[in-house]
Amino acid sequence: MKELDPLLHSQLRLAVMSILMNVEEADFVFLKEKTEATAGNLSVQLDKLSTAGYITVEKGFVGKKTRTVCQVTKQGRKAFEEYVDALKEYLNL
Amino acid sequence: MEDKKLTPQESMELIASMIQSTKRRVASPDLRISVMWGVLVIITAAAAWILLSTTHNPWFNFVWFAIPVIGIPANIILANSRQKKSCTTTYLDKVSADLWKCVGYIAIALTIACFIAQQCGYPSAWLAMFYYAFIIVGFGATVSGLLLRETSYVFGGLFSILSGFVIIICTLCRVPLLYSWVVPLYILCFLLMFIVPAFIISRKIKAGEK
Repeated sequence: MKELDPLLHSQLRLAVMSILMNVEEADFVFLKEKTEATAGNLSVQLDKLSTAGYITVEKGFVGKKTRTVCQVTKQGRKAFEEYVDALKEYLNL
Repeated sequence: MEDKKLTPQESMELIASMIQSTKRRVASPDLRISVMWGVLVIITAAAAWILLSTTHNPWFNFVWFAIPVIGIPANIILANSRQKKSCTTTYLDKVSADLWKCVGYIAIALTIACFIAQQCGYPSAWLAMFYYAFIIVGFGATVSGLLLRETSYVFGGLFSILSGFVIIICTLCRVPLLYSWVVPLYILCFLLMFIVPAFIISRKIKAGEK
């Protein structure tokens, strides 16, 4: 049986990846709202995903406000698909 | 939500719930830009029609320039305010935005071409803008409708494309394109392409929220 990717096998990181797999890009506020995580915790988890090359995090401005936009990478997409395949094996789906 | 480990079952449930929570956002386009262009074009066309038919002064044809002069800055303002509010961009958002950008670039290129033609002594070249409005904008509305799976957009777009071909046939057959029927047809097309679908979609969104 395949081993579950430890980077994705965590509640918050998996939630973030699931959202990003479903959209082209999402900003920090949206991810925070959907995951109901604290800003600090979400920031840490986004850094981990970004360091692993699963997502890109771009900081920009809209008017005078900062906007952090996250997008899943090809590597992240592949890792997520493999994670779902592994889950299916575990659950005998 | 925390950084806790999950069982495979919990993981699957979490993925499903996150997909479900972003699903609604995917199906709700920003209608303000669509309505703005529709209203602007209809008011401009009606103003040009009334002014030209009452005064017969060809200088009132300049009223048509209100469409890009007001529309482009208004579009930029609305798009920026959408960016401030919106937290996600879906693939559909990107494709739809790029589609309408192409429609806009064609309009700019055609305006320049018509202006050059006028300077060369062919003022009737401006008629090409009518063909553009009926056919290219109609095509944009049809594709938007197909992307959003909204039949009213597709219907409005196809109606406009067919109207455009009627106008081309009339031109080729030397049937006079009178303001009295071309402008009302033009207004009807924009009503069907932008206002009616926006109204229908907003009603569907409200019904969905309830």
